Amino acid sequence: MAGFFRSRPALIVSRLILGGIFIYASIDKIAHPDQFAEIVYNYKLMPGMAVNIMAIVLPWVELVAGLFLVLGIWVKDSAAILGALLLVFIGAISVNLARGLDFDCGCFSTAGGHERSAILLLLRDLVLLLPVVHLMWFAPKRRLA
Amino acid sequence: MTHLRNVVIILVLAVVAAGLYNTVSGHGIPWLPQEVKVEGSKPRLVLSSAAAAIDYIEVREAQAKFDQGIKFIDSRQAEEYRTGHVKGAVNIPATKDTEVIEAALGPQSRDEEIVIYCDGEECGASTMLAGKLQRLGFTKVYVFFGGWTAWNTAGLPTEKG
Repeated sequence: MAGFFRSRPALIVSRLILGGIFIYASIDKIAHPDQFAEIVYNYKLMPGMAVNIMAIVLPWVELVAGLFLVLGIWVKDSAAILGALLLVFIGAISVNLARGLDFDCGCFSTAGGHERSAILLLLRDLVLLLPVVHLMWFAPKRRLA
Repeated sequence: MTHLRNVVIILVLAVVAAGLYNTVSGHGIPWLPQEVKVEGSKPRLVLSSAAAAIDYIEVREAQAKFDQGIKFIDSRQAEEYRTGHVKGAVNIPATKDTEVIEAALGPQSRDEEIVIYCDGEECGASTMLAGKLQRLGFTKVYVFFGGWTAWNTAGLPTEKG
């Protein structure tokens, strides 16, 4: 089993899925920073003054780390960054689920309207942690996975 | 240590790219939001770059404009609009693209006054839409700061559907 996880095709699939999803998720946010900022604001988790900085920078972290993964550069490090983002997203959604707050996910689209229930969003982010763990555990040390 | 170095390099690359793009793209937002104060309301942070050029009005001024027959635009999503809105207001969700917004407004004079609102003090949709209208050339755009909540509280005319 470990042999399968260590195999080149398995690692490539994980890289492309995780990197591809984050690249896709970044595009709409980069195109509509004002709308994404409102969504971040409505999570009500950080000081208002920090909201725009987050809205400007976060999608580019997703895009750059996603591109590095897809291209196979610094695989473990890029996967670690995206894994950390997923943990932050899971935390943010959980807190607002517990608070009963009405919020937009802003995960893939800034167009508003609630994408799906918060529980499903949590499950999706948890599932996305699988390729993160896979890559961090099994990707070779050298730069090409 | 190389891992930490690589992570830092990736993050720095992202920050630099984000900063450059935000500066040159033409639809960037300010790094720090602007605080807007309207009489009778708590100050609210306005996130989009439009804030500086917008006239914010409170409920009495909004009522005066309503009585003059000035056009009201509800910038919330369609489902919120359907459950209740300012009487006679047109629904144009702030998230629509400018072409859609232009089509929804029809052949309207750019100098005509327009009042935009959303949920209340805590929503940013009205400022966002106001910014888009200004880019389309509309010159007399007002944001009704208290929005739907203040209108309702004041018992002013509403309708459903």
